Amino acid sequence: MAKIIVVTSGKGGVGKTTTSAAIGTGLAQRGNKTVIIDFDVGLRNLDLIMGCERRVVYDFVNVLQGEASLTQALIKDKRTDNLFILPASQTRDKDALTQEGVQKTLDELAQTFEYIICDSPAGIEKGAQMALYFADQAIIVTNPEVSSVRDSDRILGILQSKSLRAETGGEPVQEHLLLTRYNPTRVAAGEMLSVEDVEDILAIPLLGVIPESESVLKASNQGTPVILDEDAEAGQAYDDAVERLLGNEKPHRFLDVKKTSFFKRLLGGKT
Amino acid sequence: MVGFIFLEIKATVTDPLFQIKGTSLTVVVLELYNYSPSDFLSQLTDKVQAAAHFFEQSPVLINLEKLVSDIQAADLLNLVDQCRQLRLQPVAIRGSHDQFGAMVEQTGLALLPETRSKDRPLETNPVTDKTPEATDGADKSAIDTTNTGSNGTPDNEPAPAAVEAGAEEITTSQDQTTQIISRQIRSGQQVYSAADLIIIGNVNEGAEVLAQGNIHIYGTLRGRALAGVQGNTKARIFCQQLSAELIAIAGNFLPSEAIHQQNYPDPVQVYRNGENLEISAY
Repeated sequence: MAKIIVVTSGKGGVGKTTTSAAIGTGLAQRGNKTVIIDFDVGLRNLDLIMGCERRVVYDFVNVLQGEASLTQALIKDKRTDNLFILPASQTRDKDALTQEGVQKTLDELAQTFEYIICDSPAGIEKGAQMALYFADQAIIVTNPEVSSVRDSDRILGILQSKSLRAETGGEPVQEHLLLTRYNPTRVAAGEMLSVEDVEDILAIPLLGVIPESESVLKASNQGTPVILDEDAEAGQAYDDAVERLLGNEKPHRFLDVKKTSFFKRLLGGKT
Repeated sequence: MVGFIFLEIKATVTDPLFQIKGTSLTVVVLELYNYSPSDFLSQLTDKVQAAAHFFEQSPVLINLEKLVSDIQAADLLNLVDQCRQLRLQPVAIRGSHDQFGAMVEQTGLALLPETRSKDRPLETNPVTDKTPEATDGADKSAIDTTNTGSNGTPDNEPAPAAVEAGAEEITTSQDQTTQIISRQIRSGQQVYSAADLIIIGNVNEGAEVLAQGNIHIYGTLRGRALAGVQGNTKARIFCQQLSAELIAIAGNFLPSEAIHQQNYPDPVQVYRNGENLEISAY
């Protein structure tokens, strides 16, 4: 039985696509057949983050409209076995997404894949609602700042009332909080919300905390999911998050201010 | 829903034989508009057959307040009898004592006083009192049931009507019973209760809770809370922690800025003192 996981946030620019790429890759690395779908029709990004933009021929909308088959549109990842990408169309808009079409595509994917990651667009409109409608689980990507937390709260409300599971009275969608761009130094200085603050407001289980890191931007620009950068703290934190998603206990890391040694500080070492 | 509330009286004699306690129960309300023996039986049979298990032996309150024509004692006896034939259990009749007192006595059922919802002050409007709502008049007798018993939590009911255009997720209850919601109210959500409202969880920023009666929040109020929205100035707001965007009672409000200027210990209550809203410990 395929698990449909939506990666959503309400707010834009918090790291949904980075997270979709990292989590999808992490699941595939562990031998799970995984597909990541870009629901951001009109603002295609996932292909860039995954570094497969030159291989896009057909897209999600072509499949929805019967212009291409799924096998034609799916792009196999070159670095990770078991991983496929279904890119969004750059030329259409969200109206191309119909509930019946999305359902049909997901049903077809569910026959071959174990995990279907839906990379949601920002906002709470049609695109975001389509991405979350069929979800079994949701990863709520939140930055430690008030506007992101408020938008996440809003999208949680929509998940609880407008998802298929909510409408049919089934088991509620399983929610996970993923805090990204976390900077312990700025939290300590009171410039950023702490993990506890965000947990207090959103009141959903914490899947992981991804530290703010230059490696994320670097990985994005290179078209490599950051989880493949084993030296980067962000990559390691995503790896932990994948383990927790699969039900394995992992202590949370990178929550505290790192103690830099006297010499490192003296030499101006980077943290 | 109609409930029966009794005072709890503890017997002081040694070895008490009984204890009197309060309880409330859910009953079916049969609101009668007109009565004709054959039509009534056929219409009631239809209703009961539509949900046989639901009605099986369920207690029924016969409400005569909406009656448009006269009814004779024999008719009432007949009606009660017909209910019993269909395996309902009439337990009481609601209506004016002067008009129906003698008649009801013959049936052996309890007579409940009328609901004078209009001239009754709102704050004493009991949590168990249901004001009859207008029906479309297609049926001569309407059976009105609700499932909000003492443990009823109608929190996930679909909203019957939107209070405000634009608000997307709304829980609205026109039921004149306390509404209990045991989850957190999230940004963009709105909850309306025609009576008291109890929220077990936080009310987050961007969320709005409204009640005609009091609002109790067992959590932090970060959003908006409006009590006594139909003008009940005696309504209050209670919460464990107050960092609201706005609080209002019967139209008088305090925005966030004004709330934060006041010093108060948590948990707090908010009430009207004349035209002012007071925030204090309780």
